[in-house]
Amino acid sequence: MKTIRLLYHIARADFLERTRRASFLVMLGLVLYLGYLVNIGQVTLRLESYRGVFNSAWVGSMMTLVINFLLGWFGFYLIKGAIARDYQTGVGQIMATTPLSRPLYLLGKWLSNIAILDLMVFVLALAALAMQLIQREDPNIQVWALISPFLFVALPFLALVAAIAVLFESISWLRGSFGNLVYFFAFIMGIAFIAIMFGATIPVFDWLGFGVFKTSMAEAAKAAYPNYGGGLSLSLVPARGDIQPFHWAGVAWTLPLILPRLGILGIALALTLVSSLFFDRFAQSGIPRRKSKLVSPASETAAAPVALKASQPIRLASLPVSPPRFALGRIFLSEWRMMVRGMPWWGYAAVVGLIGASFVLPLTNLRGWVLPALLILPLLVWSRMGCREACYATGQVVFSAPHPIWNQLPAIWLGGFAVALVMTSGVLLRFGLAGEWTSVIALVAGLLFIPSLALALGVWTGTSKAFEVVYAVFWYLGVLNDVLELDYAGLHASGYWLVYFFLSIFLFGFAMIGRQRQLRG
Amino acid sequence: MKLSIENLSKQYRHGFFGLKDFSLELTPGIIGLLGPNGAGKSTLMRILATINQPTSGTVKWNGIDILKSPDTLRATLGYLPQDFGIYPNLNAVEFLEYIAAIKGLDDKSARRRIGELLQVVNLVEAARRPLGSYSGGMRQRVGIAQALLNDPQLLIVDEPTVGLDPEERVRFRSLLSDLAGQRIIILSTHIVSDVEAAAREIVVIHKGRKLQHAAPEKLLSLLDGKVWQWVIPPETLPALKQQHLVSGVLRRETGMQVRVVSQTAPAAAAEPVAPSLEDVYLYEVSQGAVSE
Repeated sequence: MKTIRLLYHIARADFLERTRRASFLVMLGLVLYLGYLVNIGQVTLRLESYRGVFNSAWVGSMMTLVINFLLGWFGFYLIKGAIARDYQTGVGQIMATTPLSRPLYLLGKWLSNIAILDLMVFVLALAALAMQLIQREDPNIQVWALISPFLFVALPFLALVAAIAVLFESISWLRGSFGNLVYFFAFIMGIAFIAIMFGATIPVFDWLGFGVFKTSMAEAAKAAYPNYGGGLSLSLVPARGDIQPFHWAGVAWTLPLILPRLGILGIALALTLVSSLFFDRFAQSGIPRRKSKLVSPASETAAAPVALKASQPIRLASLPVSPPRFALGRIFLSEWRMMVRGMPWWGYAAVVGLIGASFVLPLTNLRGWVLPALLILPLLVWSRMGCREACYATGQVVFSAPHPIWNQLPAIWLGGFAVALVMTSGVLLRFGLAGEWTSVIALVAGLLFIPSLALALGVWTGTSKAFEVVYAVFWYLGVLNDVLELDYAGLHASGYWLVYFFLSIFLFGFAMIGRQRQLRG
Repeated sequence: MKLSIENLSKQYRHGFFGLKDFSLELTPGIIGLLGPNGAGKSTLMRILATINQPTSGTVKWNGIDILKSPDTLRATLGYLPQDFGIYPNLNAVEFLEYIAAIKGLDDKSARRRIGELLQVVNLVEAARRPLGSYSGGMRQRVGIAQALLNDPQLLIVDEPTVGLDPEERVRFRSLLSDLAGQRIIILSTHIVSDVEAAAREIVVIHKGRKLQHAAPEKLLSLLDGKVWQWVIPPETLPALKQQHLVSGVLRRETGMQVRVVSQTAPAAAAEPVAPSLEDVYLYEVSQGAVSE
């Protein structure tokens, strides 16, 4: 009983702290927007050129799959930070001095993560209901058919996502931005891949839930349209052509269907408990430090012999009175230092190796993997732009300097642009030598876009997370997967360079407005 | 050189006032800002440091409204916030070079000044180590150095001696006294002895309002003949606290030696003693609480 009470209070405090932040409203806004996209047919569930009639079963199941795919992927970023916050605020230090055990603490955070995600599921369940009422293809509301997919398919998987967030936060090197990047690719290459490849044969791996619905949906489609070939897809673009509806009554929830879903819940619980093996219980501060550079009491007192005596008069020479000078070059140099420092040695080695490779490898290799790699490697360098003051609590010092917008923001932007330019210098040179001037122009527009996006998102959100997610989406879809509108580097379509050029200017202006807002307090 | 604060108010959500009708006129010298937690000291300093905007009122620096043109003051402002961070991958010199650049110092002046300041805050030997490896006290000294970089005419320091060892505290007080001649220094602290040692004027603030603004001697004279001291049995202390303002308690072999602020002798054995600034501070804050 005492344990349950303790768990409740850990989860409750964390839940209240998060839901009372302004950023939570932004999160809810994004989730509502997702519901809207489904409602207007931007995100659709299709069985080739067929879809179900919008009855309770269909809208509930479709919304559930949308939740599992999109909220499973991006919801991670919305909930991650519960433990990191306790590191940053020092609350963790207080908790560490209590008898609270590692597993209990992590279970509390897991429950809080689940509560946040489930709240979003609830919002999207309402959006599904709204969709049925708006579409009016089948006005009969069947409550169980509507909510059962959320209960059996969405909630267990989101519990797993909540547990993965706890695991990432328990492992020190996955706690920060690097972990954000790892999850982005782990979702596609791990979670989604396993579900698609093994979900049909091992139901407990069907965490996304496609297998739960596919059989009965396919049977219904086949009965209505014998030409149907057996495909099912969740599409992020509106359906083209004539999409035929068929009637689907929903899933008959039997024990063999429900048990694997409970199994996923069990995996999530186990993962949370396993996380406690990695969790250091606030033994170290939030920022990883190299042990050799930690100051020891001896090294601090070593400075004492040369210390001036307290009674010795201290004289500071007066500075000549002169108006402050615009020192773009020196601020840029400092910004550059802050950007490029702090990486492990192998990070620098990878950068040097890739830049070197870009000077010698054939152009097809440059387009195939060198340029994509060069464009993603500095992600964590760019993601600190605009939010460094918030991350390191230097805002009060920096913002009380003269002309904080015009002196500092251009220098930060230049720093980010310089990083992009250095990274792609070999590629630009090679494109130029090959006479591919359109590619050069398109890539330069992309290089302008990256620091502008980083600066705008950093200033407005105050965290590195937004850029890490948004940029990774641009990179994954635009650079790697030929979604031409998102191909900011012009790798597959150089025709959008003008759009990215003007978008860069807009984003820089947007960052300035954001900084102006910060200055007004 | 003059800083004029007129009817400054800062209202937060739910109607709570961080500052209410606060007025003050400051000229060169050290001004100690005393007040309990939540009194409005940091709110006032953040407004003066141009970081926050008040709900109403004006702040003028040499006649210029800094709420309308904050850069006028920023060019000559030094600010040490209570909670501030550093960039862990820069060393002290690089960090100070960065702050010097954003404060608009020219390169030559910045280098000379950084060298001097590192000596003043006793960080010469650690100057090339990453700030991430610094102890709390060392970081605080970096904070002090950055606040003095541009030789500010208005220096605002919020709890500057937190984390400093006793020797560094004395050095810092001495530094402030040395700097005070040509500039306005606003020193906010809970440590009354810091203010007592250095301040020319003291402002007592409570619940966003100014309770007192006077020279230390004048404040002390307010309690002349009203501070009493004697020894009581320990078990009578709770009852005494309910009846009088107890400004100090010391354990003695014979019992508890208490200091009490009272218009008349609170006990037959009570002896009048010279008031301290701590007595004045506690008295003013308690009076402020009563008048609420």
